[in-house]
Amino acid sequence: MGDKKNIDNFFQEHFKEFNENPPENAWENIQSELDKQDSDNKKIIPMWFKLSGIAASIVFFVTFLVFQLSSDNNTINEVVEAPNNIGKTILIDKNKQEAEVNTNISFKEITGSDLESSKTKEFSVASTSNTTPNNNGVSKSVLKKYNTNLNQVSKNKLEENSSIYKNVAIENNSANVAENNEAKEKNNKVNKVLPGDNLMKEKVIHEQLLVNEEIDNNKKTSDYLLVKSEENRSKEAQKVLVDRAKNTESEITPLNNQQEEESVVAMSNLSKTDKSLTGELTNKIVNKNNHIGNIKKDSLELVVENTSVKRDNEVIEEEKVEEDLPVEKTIEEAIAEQETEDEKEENNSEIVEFRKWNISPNIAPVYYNSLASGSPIDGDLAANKKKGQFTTSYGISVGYALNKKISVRAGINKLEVGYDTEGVALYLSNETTGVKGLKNVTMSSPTSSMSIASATTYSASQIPESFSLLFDSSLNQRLGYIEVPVELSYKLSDKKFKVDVIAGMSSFFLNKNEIYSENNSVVTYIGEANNLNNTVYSTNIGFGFEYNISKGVNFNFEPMFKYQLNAFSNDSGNFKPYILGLYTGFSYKF
Amino acid sequence: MSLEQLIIKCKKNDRAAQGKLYRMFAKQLYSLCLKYSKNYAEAQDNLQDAFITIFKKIGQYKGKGSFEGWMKRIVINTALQRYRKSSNLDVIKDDNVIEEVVEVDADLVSLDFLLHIVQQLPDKYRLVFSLYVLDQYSHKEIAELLNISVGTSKSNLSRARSILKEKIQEHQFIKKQTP
Repeated sequence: MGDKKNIDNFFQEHFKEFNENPPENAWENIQSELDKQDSDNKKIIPMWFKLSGIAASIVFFVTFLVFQLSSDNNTINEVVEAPNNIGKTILIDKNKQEAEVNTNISFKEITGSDLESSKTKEFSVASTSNTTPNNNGVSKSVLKKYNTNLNQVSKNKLEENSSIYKNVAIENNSANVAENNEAKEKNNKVNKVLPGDNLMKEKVIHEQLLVNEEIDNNKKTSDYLLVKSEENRSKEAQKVLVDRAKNTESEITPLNNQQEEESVVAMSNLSKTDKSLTGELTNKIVNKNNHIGNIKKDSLELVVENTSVKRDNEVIEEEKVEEDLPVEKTIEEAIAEQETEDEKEENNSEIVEFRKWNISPNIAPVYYNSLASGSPIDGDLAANKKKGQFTTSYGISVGYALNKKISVRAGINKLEVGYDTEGVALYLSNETTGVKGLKNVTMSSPTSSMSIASATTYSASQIPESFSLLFDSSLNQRLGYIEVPVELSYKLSDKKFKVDVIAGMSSFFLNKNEIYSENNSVVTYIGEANNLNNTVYSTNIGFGFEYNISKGVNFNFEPMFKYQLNAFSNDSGNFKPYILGLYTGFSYKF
Repeated sequence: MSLEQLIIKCKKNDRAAQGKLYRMFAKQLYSLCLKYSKNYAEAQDNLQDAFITIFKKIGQYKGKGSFEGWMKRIVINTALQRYRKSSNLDVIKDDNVIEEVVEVDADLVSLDFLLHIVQQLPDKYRLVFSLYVLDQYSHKEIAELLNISVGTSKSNLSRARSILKEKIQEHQFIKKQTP
């Protein structure tokens, strides 16, 4: 007979050695699920590639535009000075000059073969033999034209041999031009094909904008191709993902039906399965009993069968009650799963809806000034009053909404900024007084004998009377930049009237560097600053106000503050330039 | 290869190492699953899901505590996950828990039979019984795991015991009646 045992101990004893082998196919199922998850993980990566691809394509698109724009700068009216008449200004319409000049340069129709033949030969520009001041402008435009042609040729050339970057630099040997127009020397430097990648002369390097352009363009082309292929790839990946999503969606419904059907079948077959279960159990008991050998096999089987049949009805009743709950549960679970799937679908479709590109052309009045006193032109002028200039900026930006709140954008703007230094004394120097030039300004040759000083520090007695003294002049520094902003905007309010906070940075590429003196409205070009960085970075912060006009069209108003970090390479005299702009425009979403 | 090396390889998603680890622990963990599931098919599902979770989260195992214990927790959690959503089946506010004593003839009761009756217990009873009796969890731990009160855990255990006792007694009675 049995012993009295605590039921917990009884179970613990029996289950101590409990070890049962799992079904054979369990590992196969695990393996296939792991494989599936691995491939899913791999498919997620291209989504990031896609995002970075988008960012990269925006940047490349924008830089491409930068160089396109900067090469189109030839049509700006130039102020050219008469060498011996300070204060007399002559405006030359370069377009007109170009028309005249075309005849001069027609002999220089440049072809690819010309370029090849000129590998070792230095070009000299014929029209630069002219010495009259007016012709400075002419020669400049000639050379610019010449540059453009040559650029075009070398571009073609580079397209043919894209693997080789050819630095092309031809120096203008004309002494007249060099003397008369040192400031514009870089325009006289034309590309020249060299066998290697090295630049011909050291001094050319810092002004190799054109060459850099070529290299950048080339890099851009190859990078653009890379980005393009990357984009294609990610597109494919996305397509696969979408297909997968569709498949799972279509799988869900049959699954539910199947589950329901199964549960119905299960209910109807319940009695059958239970019988077989009890049958199995009784068989096992039979075997055990046989082993013991206490009872006769035949009779036992009969009896056990009978009792189990009796029990069957009870068991079935019980099973039904128990099975009912799980069946309901699975249906509920399936509905819950379906709901979560639907939610996911909705979210996805929302994301798709918000993944919108927008393009917004804009124009802005901009104000340029310094946060601190100081003068980037000369330390002596640090204390002088500075007056910021209102100018305009115009450009275009392309944005991409990452989600409902955050969007990235990049763009390209052209802007000219300037400020005036007031209270400056100008006078002509002679041998006795010496030339008092400006520290950070490379004077153009006609004004090289002019002395400039702060009127507050110089007294009239220090200057010989015989010279015309122009007190109360001002120095106007005019800078032109191509700006490439890359910014992130975060939506604070998303109604018909939207408010964003915008932060980012800009790269400014210098394309104009001029300093004028101004006295009684007479403007004289005196030279260019030699302490400007060609590439300047700024940190940007501002607000965006967006008013929805119609579907896909918004009116934008964005007050932005941009603080330039490295406008001047040295001796900026604590001049900390900032740009304040009220960017206004329309944006089109697509 | 030591278990440590195997774990390192599994962390690198080495399929062969994962297979080896599976074979090493499958039997033990499948037995664990059986105690928490209502049938063999569900136990297999739980085992598969648990191993997938183990391989996915093996990077989170930093070598603190036994690896076996870590895997067991995942297996039990996977099994419990199935029932967490459902509401409490029975909330019995009867704290009068009595020690169930059963007169047993060891020869008449097999392990298969015991497993069968455990699996047939209503879900919450089965989970509480397996956790408390077979895997030595405290009522407090069970209450946290199943999101129920300690009182409910105790009463569920008590109900489970009495059901099991009845079934064993019934089973023995039938056995004894058959000469």
